[in-house]
Amino acid sequence: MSRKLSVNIAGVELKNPIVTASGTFGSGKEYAQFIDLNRLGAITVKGVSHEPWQGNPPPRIAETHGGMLNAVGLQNPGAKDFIEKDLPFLKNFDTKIIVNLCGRTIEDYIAVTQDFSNAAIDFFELNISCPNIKAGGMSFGTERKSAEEVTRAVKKHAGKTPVIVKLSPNVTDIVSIAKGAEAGGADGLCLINTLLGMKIDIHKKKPILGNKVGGLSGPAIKPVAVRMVYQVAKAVSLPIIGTGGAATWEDAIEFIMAGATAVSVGTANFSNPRATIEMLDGIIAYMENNDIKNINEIRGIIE
Amino acid sequence: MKEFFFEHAEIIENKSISREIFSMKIRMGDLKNARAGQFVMVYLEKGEMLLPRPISICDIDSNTLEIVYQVVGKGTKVMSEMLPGQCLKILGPLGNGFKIETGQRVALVGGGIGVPPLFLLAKTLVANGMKVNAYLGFRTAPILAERFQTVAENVFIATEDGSVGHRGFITEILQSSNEKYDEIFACGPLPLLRALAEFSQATEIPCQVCMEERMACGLGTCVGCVVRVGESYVRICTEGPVFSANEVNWNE
Repeated sequence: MSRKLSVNIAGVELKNPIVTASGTFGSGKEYAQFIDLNRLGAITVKGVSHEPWQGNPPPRIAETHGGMLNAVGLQNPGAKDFIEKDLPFLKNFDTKIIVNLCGRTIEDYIAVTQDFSNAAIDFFELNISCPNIKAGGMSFGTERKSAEEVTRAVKKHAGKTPVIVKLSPNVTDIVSIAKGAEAGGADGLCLINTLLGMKIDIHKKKPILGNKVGGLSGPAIKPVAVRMVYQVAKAVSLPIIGTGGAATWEDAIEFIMAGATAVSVGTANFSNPRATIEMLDGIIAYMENNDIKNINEIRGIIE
Repeated sequence: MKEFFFEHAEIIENKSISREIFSMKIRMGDLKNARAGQFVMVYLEKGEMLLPRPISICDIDSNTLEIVYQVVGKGTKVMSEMLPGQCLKILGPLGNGFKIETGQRVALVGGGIGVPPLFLLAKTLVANGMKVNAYLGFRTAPILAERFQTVAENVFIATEDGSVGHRGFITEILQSSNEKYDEIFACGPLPLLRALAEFSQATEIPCQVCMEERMACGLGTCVGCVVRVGESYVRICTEGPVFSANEVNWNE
């Protein structure tokens, strides 16, 4: 029998809960030779800003035990370039498109939102882990008030496109930030972004990353991510895209049971370019083996 | 769209050729698209070591790929302990590779673990009717020198400790040479490439350099492995790993 895999986020139906995470899937082109992009619930493209960002000095990557650090610094050629060169390719596929937005000021976020006013995309994902230049470089996502402000500003200019706010885990109380985003009008949440980390080359006696510190991702952070999804799902009524170290179908089921509507796959794409599709097939097999007719049945079942 | 090989491939041979340096031969599918200067990603599929290892292509013999790698960390250590008959997931060939122009007389300059990708290049250039001189520099023990001797017209060796060949840097031999080269191809540590970029500028001999950096995906999606070209950072895995020496910003 056919099993219902589709999930609904802010009124938009995803054919299944498997999504790619921003910054790990380029704009989809690179992975089209490994997997059928039509099978993905949604593709989240790399972070896009209004003006081009040049990114951080190399090295930008450091592997750690069960994880990796990155300090790419959201290098991207800007929204105009993305809309001209990458978006038309993605439109060839039957999947939803989530555009990850970044900025250094509220005005930046508004400008990049407006850049997409005539572009046919399905969601905005607001990266609020960027440093807020006007607040001394502290990230928008580390305070409830600034998270709410930036969400409200983007929401005002987003038209009918739903806004998903991607939360930073580098906070004392993620529930408070989630509530800030909800109060600012967010249509959904994505969590978690990377955990700030560091690795030192003891022979050279200096940090490996050019930026000294970077974001930790991969299986090493998954328990933190599952815990935060669980806490936030209990506290807010918004749909959640769970992410952070999900690499197998078992991980995806864990996130869904913790309360996620969809699961976003990031670093696992590097370890295995076919990770997303293998996870999807695993979810389908799990549903069959456990006689789950609708994936939504198991969402948030953990008390 | 590029045609990649992305499958489990059988190791045919994996042996030490020098201290901490290994040669691994792997039986692959079709390698006819692979060129000198390109690389493969080696997937260890060990939970705690997430990322594939980028390794340059040293040689190709019909369906056999040879990579020569140095044990520099846990991942390459695992590779060095693998046995013939075992399988590794391989993705490649990746990157742009060296551009073969019409020059007649070329110098290949390699340093240390940067020497292996120049071997397939030497074979390719000789097959294209060019005269190849190889300049190979090492800290101490040379690698692949005999194999270069089977294809290159001349092979010059320098070691920093003087154990084999000229004592000092390989660039010193190149600089004192009377040969008039049409092009230089190089791979090796940053100080060597930087010195060659200066040499190329002073002599107006074009120079292609093959670069490396820590990578995550190898496919261009993570924008992790960058080098400064002009004012912007470009991806070594996709726009490189081979660049024209004069376009790279060597001050970074």
